Amino acid sequence: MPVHRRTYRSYEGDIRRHFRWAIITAQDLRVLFKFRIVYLLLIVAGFHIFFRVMHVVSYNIAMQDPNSVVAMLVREANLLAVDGALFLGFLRIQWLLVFLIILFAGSGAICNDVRNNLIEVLFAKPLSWRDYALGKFVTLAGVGLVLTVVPVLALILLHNLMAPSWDTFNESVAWIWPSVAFSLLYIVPAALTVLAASALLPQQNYAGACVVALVMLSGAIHQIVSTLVDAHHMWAGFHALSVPTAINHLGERLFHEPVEYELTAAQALASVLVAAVAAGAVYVWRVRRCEVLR
Amino acid sequence: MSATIQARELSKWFGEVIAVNNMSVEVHPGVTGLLGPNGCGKTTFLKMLLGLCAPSKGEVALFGEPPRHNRGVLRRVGYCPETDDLFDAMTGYEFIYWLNRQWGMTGAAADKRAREACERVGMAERMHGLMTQYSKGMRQRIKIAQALALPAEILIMDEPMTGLDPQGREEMFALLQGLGADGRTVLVSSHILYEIERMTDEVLMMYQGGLLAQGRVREIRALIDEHPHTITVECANPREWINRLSAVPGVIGLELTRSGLTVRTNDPNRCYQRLNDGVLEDGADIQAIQCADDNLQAVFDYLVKR
Amino acid sequence: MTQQAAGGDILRLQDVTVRYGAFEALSRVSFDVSGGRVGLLGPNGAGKSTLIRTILGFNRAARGAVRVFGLPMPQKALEARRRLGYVPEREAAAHTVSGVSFLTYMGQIAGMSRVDAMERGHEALNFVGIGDQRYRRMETYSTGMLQRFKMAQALIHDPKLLLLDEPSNGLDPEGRMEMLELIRDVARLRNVSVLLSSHLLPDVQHVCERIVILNKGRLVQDGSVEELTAPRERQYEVRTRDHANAAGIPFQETLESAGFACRAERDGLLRVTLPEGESPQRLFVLASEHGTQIRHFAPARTSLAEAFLQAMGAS
Repeated sequence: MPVHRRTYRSYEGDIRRHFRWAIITAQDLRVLFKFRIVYLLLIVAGFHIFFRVMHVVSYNIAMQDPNSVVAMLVREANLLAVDGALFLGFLRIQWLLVFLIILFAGSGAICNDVRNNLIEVLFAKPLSWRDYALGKFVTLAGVGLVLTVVPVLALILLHNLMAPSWDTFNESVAWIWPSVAFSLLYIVPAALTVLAASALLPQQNYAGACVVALVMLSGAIHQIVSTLVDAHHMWAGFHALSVPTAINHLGERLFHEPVEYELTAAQALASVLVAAVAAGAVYVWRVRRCEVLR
Repeated sequence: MSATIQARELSKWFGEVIAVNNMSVEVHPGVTGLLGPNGCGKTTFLKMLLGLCAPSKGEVALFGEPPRHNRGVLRRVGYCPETDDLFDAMTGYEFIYWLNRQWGMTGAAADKRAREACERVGMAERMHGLMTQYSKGMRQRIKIAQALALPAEILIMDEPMTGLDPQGREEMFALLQGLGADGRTVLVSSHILYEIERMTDEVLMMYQGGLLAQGRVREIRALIDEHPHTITVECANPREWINRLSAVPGVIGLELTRSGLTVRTNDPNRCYQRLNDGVLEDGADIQAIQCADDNLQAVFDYLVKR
Repeated sequence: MTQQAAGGDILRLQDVTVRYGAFEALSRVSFDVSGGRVGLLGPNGAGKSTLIRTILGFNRAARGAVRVFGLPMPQKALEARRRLGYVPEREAAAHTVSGVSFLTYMGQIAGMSRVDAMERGHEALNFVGIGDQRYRRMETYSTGMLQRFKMAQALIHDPKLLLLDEPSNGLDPEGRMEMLELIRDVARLRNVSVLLSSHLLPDVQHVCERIVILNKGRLVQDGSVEELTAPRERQYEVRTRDHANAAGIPFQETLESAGFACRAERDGLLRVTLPEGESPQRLFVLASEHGTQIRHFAPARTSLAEAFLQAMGAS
């Protein structure tokens, strides 16, 4: 009897209506982890986290004997301190790796589906463009947050475990909100930009190159603006034109670190929001067109 | 009529995998169909004919000469490939024009032939549009046109009908049959057997790298002994016919069907003769006589699934 | 969920017009499907893909109403898609994952839990005839397997209406027959309605009972295959054992000189029109006199291709 004369059962199970986007995210993560380069980037990120862990551990060991030479050095020279600068520094460096992973994972997110003609097949199922857009976004944002916020929380926990006291607790809790905010400030625009490029351009390589070009453009703007502002005393607000500068500035403010440029928080925030909203609008527009033609 | 395409003990292997296994075949002018299941070595065989890969053993000759690195011979061959890779940034006309120029025509000749080819395939109005904007059927027509634009005596067409609508298909059948009638050698490879039948009687069947059968469909059928001929007869009084036919030598099975009967016989000639005689002599009423399995699909099934 | 009254239980299009900008892709198309296997034919650019996309809810009709399973489209598109299966024309494959993995994903998107989706995925793959290949990455799949895979992903959620666009594309002769049988089986065993769009008219004739023909966005023909391919009056197809007799005279000449209008078709087949008053037996008499046997004799039916071209000519 030929195989196809056997039939299949009717489906009488439940239909899940909610969190369709989570299915997209889960699948994208599964696909992402098939690539070795992702493991490489994760290992490098891991080293960085490990390095910071050592930092916290060393500090705490040094501080166990407040009168030792090392402890005095730490207090005087402010080395190895577990303070805002540690977390800001950690997040700033981690951003490079997170950006690379987001770029790798996200530049093909939409365009590969289009190239493989999966869009018609996906949207012929009960999937709305909202689920699809959100699912893809959460993949990138999720990976980013896991590499930034989760290590920060782990470091804080470690610090509190090694030197438990009410002061330590109060101090460290104060760094949670800035860490989360700062992470979101650079993950969200980055993810939206990468997804917008992926939705606009036909190939993963072009999308990736486009995003890298945008980042370099931002750097170039930053250089030009710095020179102009310094040399010609122009309005410092121009620094906000470079989105990475604006994000860094907000980070400095969040962690109460000395600011490098004379911007206001409002200007910096406006810059980041404009970038995020613009990328988000392009992304949503293109994805919506996949499902709804007219 | 001498053979324009000849292959003698042609073999090709890739590592341990043998793609074409000792094929010896001759193709004459006219339309010939090339068919076979996926993986039978058709594509490799065509590549060797076009000089795109060298045989591992044996010889292949077009117009008596091996085609590999042979510009003189390859200039007389037109090829319409199966794959759909065209230069999207060009217009259809430009694509054919530049291929003509590559071939060696002067600008004026290339232009004229490109326009004529586009007209022949029905693309005269759209030939100056960009190929990115073409539908699948239009791209297919351009692919066919580029093969026709050359003064080719051998045309190798791999799945030429893909993407064409029924009218387009009818036009292509007529076009290819016309080319065959003109004396060109047209080798059409297709999976759609009734379309090959529509165009030609002569077929080349390949299977597992070798030549399974070659010749006219009906002749091949006549050579297949294991499967007796199956003739369906539609009539009002089948039982009378059963009586008549059971006495005919060679008949090995008679079966009543809803509208008449089915006869299985090893000697179709006698059986048909009895049927004809029956109508004449006894005035017996017959509505239809049909042979169920002398079409290409049936022959192919018998040969491949044996 | 309200049910439409009889007629159009599965699909109902009333006066549907779809525009792409200023271009009208579908003009005032109306037809109902309550079940069975319907073939959708038409030249390139006739609006077949637009029609399928409208049924899937990707297009909004500028005028008229589209109801799938009684649900208005595209408002209730998500709900309708739960029972729609779509086999697209172009290849669709996620190269880096295995067939099973991707099919499970499709099942989950259709609303099933992961376990259910995995089970049904395997069943669907068995049904379409994909064996151990299912565990390998999809980039290793041949065209035939990808085609079957597309069928599996359309069936995994047990749809009630299956939309197929050139399902036998790229399949070898055996694969094509299997695919057509598969479609007939699905329609029969699981009571699934089928809308099949193809340029291969004999395939459509083999699978479908009803034909809908579109041309330039309009519905030009809607009838059963039986009606469209009705036998012609007094016309017969005849083939003889020998093309010409011993004297070299073709049978066609003999027929024509006896007053029978005769047209040669491919492969030695003659299409003969009997004059008034003549019976078909006369053909056998003439064949015998001519010295040959009649080997093929049947009332000439309009082929679907002819019916199609006639419909095109008329519109």
